[in-house]
Amino acid sequence: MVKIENLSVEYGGGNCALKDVSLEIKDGESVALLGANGAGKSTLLKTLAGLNKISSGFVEISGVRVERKNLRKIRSDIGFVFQNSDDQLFSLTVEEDVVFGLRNMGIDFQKSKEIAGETMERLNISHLANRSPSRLSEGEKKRAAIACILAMKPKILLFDEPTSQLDARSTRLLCELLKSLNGTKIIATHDLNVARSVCGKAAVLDNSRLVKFGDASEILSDEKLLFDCSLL
Amino acid sequence: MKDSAAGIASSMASMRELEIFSASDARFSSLGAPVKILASFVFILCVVSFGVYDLGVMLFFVFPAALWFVVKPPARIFFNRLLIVLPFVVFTGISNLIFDNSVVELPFGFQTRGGAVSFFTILCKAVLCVGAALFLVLTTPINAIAGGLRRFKLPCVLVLQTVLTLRYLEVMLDEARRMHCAYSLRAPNLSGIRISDWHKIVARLFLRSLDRAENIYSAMLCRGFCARKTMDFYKTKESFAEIAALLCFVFACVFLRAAGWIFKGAAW
Repeated sequence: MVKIENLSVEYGGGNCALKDVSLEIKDGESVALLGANGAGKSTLLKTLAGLNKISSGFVEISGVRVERKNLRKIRSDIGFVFQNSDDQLFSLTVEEDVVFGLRNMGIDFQKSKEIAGETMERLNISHLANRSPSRLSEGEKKRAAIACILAMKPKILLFDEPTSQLDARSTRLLCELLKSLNGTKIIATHDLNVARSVCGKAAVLDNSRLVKFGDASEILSDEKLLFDCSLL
Repeated sequence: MKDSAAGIASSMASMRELEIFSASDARFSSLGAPVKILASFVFILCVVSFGVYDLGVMLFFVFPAALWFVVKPPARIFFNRLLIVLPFVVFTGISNLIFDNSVVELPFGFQTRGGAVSFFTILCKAVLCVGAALFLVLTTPINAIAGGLRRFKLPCVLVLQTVLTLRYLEVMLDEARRMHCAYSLRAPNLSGIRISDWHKIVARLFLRSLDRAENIYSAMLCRGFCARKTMDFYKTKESFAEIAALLCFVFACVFLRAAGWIFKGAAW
């Protein structure tokens, strides 16, 4: 379970990126974090992964507080797919990138390669294994970045704008893939179609504050709310 | 403008090409990195031990020649890298050519100016040393080199810094390429970047690279990256065959070094 209680995050210069956010996400739920640009979606995801300093309040992942001493445990439970795949793929080949996380988990090289192979096959990117990530299309990069995370079998998956920079077909394929994934999923997006097709719940952020949290269908049919939060 | 953009792209491509080659060369990349590092170190040590008028250093060209046929490195990358260093070497050695007027006896009774000989030996030494380093890089992936350096108990911070610098260099080049592209599209009549714009571009480039480097580092942390642990994955234990091969190489180097002395003794 993910528990966020009165969370506030400030960046340097007193800029408040999140103000007093509280929500609870149960195991296995798929939650869309909706909000316009700068609403605080990415900040919330980064805070869950322990990449941001919490100013006040707290975050708990499976009962463990997100704080410095617990980061290793937290990060083994969480898989974070970044908005820009180029930030995530830094190795020479796609396979090497998938193996990177597994090796960090202490899995030996041969076993890591095996798991990487299986994951890439599952995502239909086996043919990209020996390709350089810089030579892939955006859709392929996104799949490779997801493979890097899925190979580590995290309990909670965080996606930051997974469909940005993707064309319609790639978006559809990615949505199908996201739907097929087990475990808790938190997807930051401003694409309402993605939220509608993948998530059962939705949280709307506006101006660094949580405006509403509830059933995705209910929230997505509230046009006034979406309009007020610059989502329509 | 287009040329500089192409230049950045080609630098990035050749960096990648070098890495791909080092990872793909099965015969030498399977050899333990510590053995290769030590062999290169012994080789360089032997080469630099020759005196300025000592033409015996030429005997050491046997090793790169043999390696060339076995490794078959991409000649363009190899010589391009060598050409970067050569002007500095020539600049260093040229004063010898001008100021050293001593007379040196060569084998078989020939005589020449000391400056010419010392210039030539400096050139040979530089080519051999840089060549040795290039062969090491061409046959060993950077992570394996890092593991090798850790095997020699080099501080983790130092090794990690080296590896990340290489990674971030690519990030910086990529950002430079994007910025250059954006600049040139809005300044089609300029043949380069205006001097008055340089400071803005460099500052922006620094900030953008820093930003991206931070994102990459965050992505690494999210996937359980821990400097000491990750660096130590690439540590290898040398097999008996590798140690034997290293000893043979060291013996060959010492033998050639001794041959250099004999060669010199016989000639003078």
